[in-house]
Amino acid sequence: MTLVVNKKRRGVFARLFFTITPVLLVPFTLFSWAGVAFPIDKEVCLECHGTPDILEMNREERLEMVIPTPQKQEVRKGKLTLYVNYGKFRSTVHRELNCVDCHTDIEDIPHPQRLGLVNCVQCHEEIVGQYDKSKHAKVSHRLCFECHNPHATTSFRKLSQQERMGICLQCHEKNGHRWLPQRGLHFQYLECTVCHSPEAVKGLFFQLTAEGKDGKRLNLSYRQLEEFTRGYSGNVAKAIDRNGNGIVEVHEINRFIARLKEQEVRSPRLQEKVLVLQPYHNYTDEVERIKDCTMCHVSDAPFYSQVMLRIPEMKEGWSTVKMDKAIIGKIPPIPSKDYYFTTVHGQNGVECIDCHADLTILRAGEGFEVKGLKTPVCEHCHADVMAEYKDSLHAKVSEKICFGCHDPHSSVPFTELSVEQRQAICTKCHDPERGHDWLPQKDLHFKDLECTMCHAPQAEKGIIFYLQRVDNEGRAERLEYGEVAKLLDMERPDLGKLLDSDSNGFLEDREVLSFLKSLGEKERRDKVELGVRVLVLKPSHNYTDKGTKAKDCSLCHSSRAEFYSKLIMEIPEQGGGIRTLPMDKSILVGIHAIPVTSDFYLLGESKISKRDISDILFVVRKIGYKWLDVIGIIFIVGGLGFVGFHGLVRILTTGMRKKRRHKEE
Amino acid sequence: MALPKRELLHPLTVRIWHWVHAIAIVLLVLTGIQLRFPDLITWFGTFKRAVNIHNIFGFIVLFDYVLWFGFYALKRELIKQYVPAPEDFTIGMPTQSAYYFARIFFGDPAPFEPTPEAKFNSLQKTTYVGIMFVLVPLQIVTGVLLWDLESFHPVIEALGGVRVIDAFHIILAYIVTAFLIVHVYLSTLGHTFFAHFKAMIVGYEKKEEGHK
Repeated sequence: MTLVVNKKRRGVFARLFFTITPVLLVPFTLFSWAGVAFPIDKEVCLECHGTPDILEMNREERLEMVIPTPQKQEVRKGKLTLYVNYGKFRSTVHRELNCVDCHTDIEDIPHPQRLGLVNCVQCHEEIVGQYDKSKHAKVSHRLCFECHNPHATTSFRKLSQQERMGICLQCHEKNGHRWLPQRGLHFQYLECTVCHSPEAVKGLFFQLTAEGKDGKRLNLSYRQLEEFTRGYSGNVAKAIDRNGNGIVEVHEINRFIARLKEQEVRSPRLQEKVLVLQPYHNYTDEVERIKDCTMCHVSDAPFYSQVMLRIPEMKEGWSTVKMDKAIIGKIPPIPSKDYYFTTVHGQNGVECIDCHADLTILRAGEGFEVKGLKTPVCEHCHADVMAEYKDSLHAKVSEKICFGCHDPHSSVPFTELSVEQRQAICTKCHDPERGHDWLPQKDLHFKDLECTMCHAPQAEKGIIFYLQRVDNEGRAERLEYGEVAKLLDMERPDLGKLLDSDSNGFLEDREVLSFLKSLGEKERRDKVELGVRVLVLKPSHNYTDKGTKAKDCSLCHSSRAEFYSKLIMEIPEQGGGIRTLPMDKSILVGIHAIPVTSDFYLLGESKISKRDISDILFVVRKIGYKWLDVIGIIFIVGGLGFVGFHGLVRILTTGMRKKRRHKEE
Repeated sequence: MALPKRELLHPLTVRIWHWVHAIAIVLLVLTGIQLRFPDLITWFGTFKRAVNIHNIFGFIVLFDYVLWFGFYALKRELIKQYVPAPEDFTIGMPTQSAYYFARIFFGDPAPFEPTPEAKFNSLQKTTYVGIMFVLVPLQIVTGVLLWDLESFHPVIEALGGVRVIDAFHIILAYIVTAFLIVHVYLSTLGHTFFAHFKAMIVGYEKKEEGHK
């Protein structure tokens, strides 16, 4: 065995010697006197490096071929070997280059034993710039060729998703993705950098697929599509894009798929894949950012800006054609949620996985399968609501769980919901027209009140006031901070302070009225007044559908109604926020010189009740001896009234008396 | 046309008494208003000055009242003039009320003509008996008590305290004021607008005959 090897080696040596010697000597003798460096052609390099034999030499043997530089340290090479497969190299993006274009420290052959690092920045300045700043560079100190083999690089576009992932998987393992819902599906459809390179340009790629014999979905090859290209000179893209505008419209692809079906291709369908179009070499493993599912699961996800159809080429490989973005609406729905982070959950930092981590079947077949949901996870955070709801009539009868009514992906803080929006939660299932025939002024009740005003007796109710402008036609419009500031002619006024002029944290009607007056002075055209709404301030999830409780009008139509105990003024703040201050009840009951809440009157609120009488007696006692003046003034007014009335009648009847006297005379 | 009958309706003593009483009451009312609403009214300068004026005229009213009481008592007309008889309630008051509230506007003759023997109609009698026998004496008594709280302390305590005395004094003052307004107005309801005024100054009331 060893003999054979030695023989072989000897032969190699001889061959090397005889080839290298003339190659080295000829240029030297010819050009050295003229001082012109001879360009070392890649063929020269490949003489040694183009054969795997070089890998089999021992150290001593290799040393004989180069100029030893023992004092110089060896640089890292990664997985690169001394052998360069020229067959592969020929098809790489670097094929036009000479070896010495990169290995610039080779000036002569034999070259020094140890070469310096190849500096890719000569050509890839931008990429190296991105990479140098990245965490990857700082932590791993990896060099370009430790991930990418420059002797075997394919155009990025031609790399399959699996090949792209392979670059990362040389060092990384997939194991760290336990938190990721639908891990298998993500790995099947996405390459690593879709998530780990946020700045990379991504696109949504469609591919024509069909069901294979074993039921697996396979990409349709050129050969399978060839017969459909007749009349289009064998070009699949042209066969699909019939109007030749360079964009595949929805009707065009539908028509093509229909044709495939006619030709008995088994269930042809488009399958989507998110791919990186243009990589960005700044990788991140920062969990916060990547675990944010809404990076992709929203309709304005970055990859929707590039929608392409991948078409197999006649020879091999793929070409891409732009696709009409309308196709997105046609693809099987992905559980995307727009603007999640503007919702109350998103704002409170609830991540998708906080609720969905325990779900195993989200996507059965191609559809979103809600049936996979087990017990509601809402209880983790909303334990008190759940405790109240669990035993309620609603839960027992409807067996609805939280998201039967509430969409957790677009939930808005309760206080920001309008009456209409609150009603909509109930009217999803309930028809308000049914069962309310007994209710007087039905439409008016429905217009201004949310269902739970009556149907949730334990909910905390209150009256909300806000500033509004009413035009001549009676259209009311809520005043925002900017408008109020303009009306006051002040720059950045603190409205809370202006309203609550005595700063006791409570708005007396006098304070509100004088504030309204100062607003009204500037506003000549329209009327500035207080808008009022009766609202549920704190909901209760224990609903009732019948019983005298709900049909008891006096629950609201009495001056003792619950919501009168909580009067709140909503004051607009700079930046769109709202500040609330409790307000004095007298604003509603009192009769004021300027119209306040002219549109708000609850029938029955002015009814006198037993409690009012005792209140009056209390006031009577409180006034005490001051009654003397009140009674006294009544006496005087009575006296003046008599005199005025009698005198007036006297004046009016003067003529009559004169006439009579004349007659008698 | 008969000759105007002249007949002394108000003797000089009564006239002097009336006008002294009138000025005193008006000043008591005015100073009283300032004492009641010192933060609103300062007609008489300082509060103390108003109190002094109020006290002085209070005593004037006291002496004036004694004069009036003595005069009529001596003349033995007190009861005759002032105390209403049963027929005053049954006939006089309805007739007089009907006259004041309706018939007067049609120019009907007054159902009652004052004479030195019977100066007041039924309504007047009833009112004056209340004013002169209850209201004014009560007002004088409470006024005097309030004038010197120290000295009258035991009496005030026995009557229920300063607060009660004051309450009476105030409420009576309002009634007096209201009465004053009506009284002045009613005195314009004579034959002519100023007939009663003149009578109270000169003593005689000019009588116009010829209409019933």
